[in-house]
Amino acid sequence: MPQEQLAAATADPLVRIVNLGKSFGAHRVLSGIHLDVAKGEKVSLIGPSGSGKTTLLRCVNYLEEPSEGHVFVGGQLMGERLVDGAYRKMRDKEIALLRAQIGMVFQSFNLFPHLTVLENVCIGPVRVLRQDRKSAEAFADALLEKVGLADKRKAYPDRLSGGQRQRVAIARALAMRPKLMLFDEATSALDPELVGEVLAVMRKLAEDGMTMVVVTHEMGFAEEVSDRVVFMDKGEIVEEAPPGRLFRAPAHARTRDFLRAVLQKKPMS
Amino acid sequence: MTAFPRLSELANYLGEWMPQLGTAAGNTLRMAVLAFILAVSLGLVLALARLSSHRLLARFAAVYVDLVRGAPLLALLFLVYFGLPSVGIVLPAFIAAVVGLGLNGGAYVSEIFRAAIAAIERGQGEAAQSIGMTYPQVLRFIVLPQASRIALPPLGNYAIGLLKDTSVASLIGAPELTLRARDLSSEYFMPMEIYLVSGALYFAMAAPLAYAVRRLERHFGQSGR
Amino acid sequence: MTAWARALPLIPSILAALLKAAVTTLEITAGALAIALILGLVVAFMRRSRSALAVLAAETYVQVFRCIPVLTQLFIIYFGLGEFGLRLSPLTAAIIGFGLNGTAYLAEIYRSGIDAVHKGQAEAALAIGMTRPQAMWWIVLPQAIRTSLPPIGNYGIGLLKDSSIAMAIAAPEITFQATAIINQTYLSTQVYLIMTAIYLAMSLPLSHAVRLLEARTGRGR
Repeated sequence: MPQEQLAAATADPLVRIVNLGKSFGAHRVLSGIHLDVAKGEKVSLIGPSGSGKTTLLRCVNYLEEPSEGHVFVGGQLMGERLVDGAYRKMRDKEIALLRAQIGMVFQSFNLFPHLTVLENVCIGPVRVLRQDRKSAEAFADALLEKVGLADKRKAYPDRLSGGQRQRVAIARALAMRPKLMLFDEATSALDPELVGEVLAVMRKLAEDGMTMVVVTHEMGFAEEVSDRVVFMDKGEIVEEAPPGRLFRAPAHARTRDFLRAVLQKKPMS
Repeated sequence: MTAFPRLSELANYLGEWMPQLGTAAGNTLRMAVLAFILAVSLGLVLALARLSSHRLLARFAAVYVDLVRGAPLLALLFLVYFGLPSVGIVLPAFIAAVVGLGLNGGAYVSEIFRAAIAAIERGQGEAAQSIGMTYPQVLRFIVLPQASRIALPPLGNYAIGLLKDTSVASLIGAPELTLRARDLSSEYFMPMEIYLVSGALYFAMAAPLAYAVRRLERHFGQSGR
Repeated sequence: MTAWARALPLIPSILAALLKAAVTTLEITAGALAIALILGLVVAFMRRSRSALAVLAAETYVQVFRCIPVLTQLFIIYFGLGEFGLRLSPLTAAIIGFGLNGTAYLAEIYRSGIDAVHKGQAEAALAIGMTRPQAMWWIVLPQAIRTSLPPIGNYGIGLLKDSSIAMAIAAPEITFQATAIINQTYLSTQVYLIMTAIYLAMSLPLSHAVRLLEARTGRGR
């Protein structure tokens, strides 16, 4: 979808990031980030390691607290409230409520090892949304079917391959019926032969119209699935463009250098 | 039931108790240090015996460690103090306490050494043997120097435990802090005050040790695990 | 050795009396462990609290109890409180004393168990909308308790043996009973050996069980 059309279709973006900055002590990891993501849009964040893309993603659901600037999701200010002209940090409960609407998939899966696959997927709906266990399990089973793991519902995570774990993690996030999905290098920890099955699930999700922000090293996937690719370096957005333009005709030298280095190692599919 | 004495009264009592309790605390320290030396020596011997290729020796050490760790310290103290006389060995209570605490501690310390040696050996034993050292050489020059470093924090924790365990020696009448406190308490009928003071003395002795161990643990935090 | 000859016919009755006292030993162990399991968790949570006062109180509790002999604690609770009119039975005093002492140890065990849970676990829980307390309760704590089971088991075994110290406040457990029998029979070596054998019969199988548990949880991660 071309950006102009999207902007016309939805006046307010689903995600709006305004002048975001983040420092860890004296170490500056993000500065001056502006980024909008429209509903239904798929945005890939690429860049060298240490460029701040993961931190940016973690600021979106407030796992990381921004040092400056603001993040809005669905028009809601994340983690803060404007009280008498001053920003106050939200209470734990309010932040949790906002996070519940945003799915996140981690590089290291972070499945709960003491719970079965089915329980991993159900625990959010049951404990956070207070759904009854029956309907939560029915929906979880449907999701496990969708990611191709219906037969593993009673298994514990340590019996699954990396690819299977990551697919469960995606189902766990989807169980909350999120309006936005964040993927943090979802395939980086996987053996090469397992990357495909996870990307396939992500691709299906994209086709279903999910809004997605994806931090990835998979340039092929970024090109194929994204509406827009954002290249970051040294904590800043260097350029953003539709994948065709960014990969074929990058405007900046830094983007070119990065793409040349990456594509030399791994030919683009 | 007595009313809680006023502060000035308590100060008077403290003046009477403190010299006695102070001397007794000195005995506690002396007992702990002697038992510690015995325990570390015995522990090292036991740990090496368990690593030795001599089957019977290794087996004996393992059984010793299991039995001693499975029985209460108090049982060991009773056997040393009340039991040994039946085979003609009569020890004064203080010596019996040092022997009992040392025999008991040897089993624990040997486990500390064993774990430390195992931790080093896994990584480096083979490397050292591959450059042509014999096993005893590896042990002497490579493993033990590093293992003793790793063993320091748990040894410190053992020392804290030992310092407190000396109180159990009061139950065989060995002259130390808790026995003195008991005597004073039956003399003055003020057990709460006296035991709180003796507790404070134990704290004053153990807390610096605990502090040092925590510093050590933090220091070794990155490499020591 | 005439003492042994004299002891031989008495062994069944000595054994019976000591085994009966073993019930009290187990009561002290179980009661104190129950207190420590619960209060230890409270102290462990206090140490992680945002209130500086709660943290200070919890740290002080742990440090003080870990630096003072449990025998002194028993004397304070049994004789000391008695001085102020609060007379506890020896058994109750022993359970409370060992329980409060164990609380400090359990708090440490829980703490390292919680620290050992990977940071990503709590993050994943927050990411599906759990609050921090929910993430702790449903995700972190169950895993922390699982890794804590072997050290808790070892602590329980230590408690079983240490309960012998309760004889000093006349709690009618094994060691107290053994001493009482010796006062009648003068068979100290024999009775203390039987007593030690009973402790071993209880602690060695438990140690073995803990080792099996250790091997299992070690594999499960």
